[in-house]
Amino acid sequence: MSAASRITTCVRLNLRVQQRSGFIQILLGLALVLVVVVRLGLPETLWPLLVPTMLLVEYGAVGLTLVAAMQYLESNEKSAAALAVSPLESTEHVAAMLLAPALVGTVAGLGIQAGLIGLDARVLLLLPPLLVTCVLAGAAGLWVACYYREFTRFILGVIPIVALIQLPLLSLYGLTPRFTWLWHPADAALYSFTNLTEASPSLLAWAGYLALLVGFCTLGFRQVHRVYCERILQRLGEST
Amino acid sequence: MIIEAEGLGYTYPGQPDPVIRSLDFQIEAGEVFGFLGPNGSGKTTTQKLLTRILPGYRGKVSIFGQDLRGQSAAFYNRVGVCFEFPNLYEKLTAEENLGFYAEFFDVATEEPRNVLERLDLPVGDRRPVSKWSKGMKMRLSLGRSLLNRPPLWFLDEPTTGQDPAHAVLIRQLIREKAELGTSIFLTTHNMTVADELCDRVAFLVDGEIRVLDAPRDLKLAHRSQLARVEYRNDSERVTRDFDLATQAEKNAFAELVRTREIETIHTQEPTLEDVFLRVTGRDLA
Repeated sequence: MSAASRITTCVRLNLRVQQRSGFIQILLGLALVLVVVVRLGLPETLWPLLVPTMLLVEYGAVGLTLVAAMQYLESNEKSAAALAVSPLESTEHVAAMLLAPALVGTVAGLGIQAGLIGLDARVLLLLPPLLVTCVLAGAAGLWVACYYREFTRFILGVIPIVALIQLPLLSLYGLTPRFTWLWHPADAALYSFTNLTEASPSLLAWAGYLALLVGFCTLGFRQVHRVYCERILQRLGEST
Repeated sequence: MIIEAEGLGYTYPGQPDPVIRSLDFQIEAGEVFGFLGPNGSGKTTTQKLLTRILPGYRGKVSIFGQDLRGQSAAFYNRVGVCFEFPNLYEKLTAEENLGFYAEFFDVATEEPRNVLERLDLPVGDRRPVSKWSKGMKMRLSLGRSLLNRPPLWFLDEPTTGQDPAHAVLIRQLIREKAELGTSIFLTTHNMTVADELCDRVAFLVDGEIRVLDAPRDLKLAHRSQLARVEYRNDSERVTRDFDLATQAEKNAFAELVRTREIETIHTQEPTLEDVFLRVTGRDLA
């Protein structure tokens, strides 16, 4: 079995556990509520500001909470110990932990797009930035969860990260110049969305952002894998 | 040789003293090797070292002829590990727990249904395993460690939480696997289990192996020729011990058997626990 197959199995396993725990239903329900509230209660002129905001909230909520929840579940049930003695490599396990909520976040994000501006072929351009931004948010969530096992401390730990993820909104609201956050991982999805609502997206900008995102993801993944091995697997060995 | 350990030692980070000092042992193919000792003696830590869960050990360990340090996770295609406590996805059903896990292997795996049946667990139960008893969860964890038909099987207190009937079932399963050639590393403080199942046992105390031998040889080496007789003397029950190593005692014993109404006769063979106590000076508690 290849690494890709093992990661796929682990992603399916994560999604099944999260679905049984009700996390996925809650997050997709949240997306639905956001769409309904915006469509029924807010003027369309505000949508270009509100929709990206909601998307970034979804990244934060989905990536951070789902990954952290999975990490806590696996630690409490000690099921992480079972995976540690399977042919699944720790890199594959961490990758699956990040990919599973990223898929949920992407579906939720696309649901928001489709619910508010309709399905369009250009939405496909949003898929990669949505996915990788969710992965990055998940990596941040896992990183914090590796350090803080207690819920309150975890929440306190993720607040600055959620704030960091949403920094590009400052440009959207005209509080900082447009290109201030060009380097920011979440800016890609935001910029793609802004293009999507206008005439046509700039493919070059999109590709550039995507490359930036992949770079961020690689760095984020390496960092969070190191922390996971040091703080979770080592602890697992000492306590199992 | 399936496992070879030379000078194996380990100190937990932040601890001044090593929990495992310097272990030397070998395990052959098809052997059931018992690792016995009181709580805190380092049995479980040794299993964690041999199963790659704890890195950073001292000394040399080779498994299947290869240095353990150089092994990747593919190592677990040939190894089964069952921990002392259940570690399952509690929100999933038993078949989901087994099914997902089986997909990680590169080797042919058992059918989850067969594993459940073999361990007297319900097939087709739609309840999450969180609703199961601890004994059932332990058997499910045990079954999961067998999914890949491992030639090397690590077991940590496998009969914990089992009622007597299921403890027998697990012992039968271990014996059956050993007969099929599986090497088994059995960590336990249950001397009855070890005596019944193990080809050789190592007594571990304070991170050191004090004795390593076959249970039968250990008992023979520490045997006494004491016989305890209970008999009736009129209406009174009397208990008397005879040291059969001396001729006078043998004669007295024979005389008693011939002239009295004997109720019971027991030779005082030492149990493995007695041997452990004598060798280590420590109780198993």
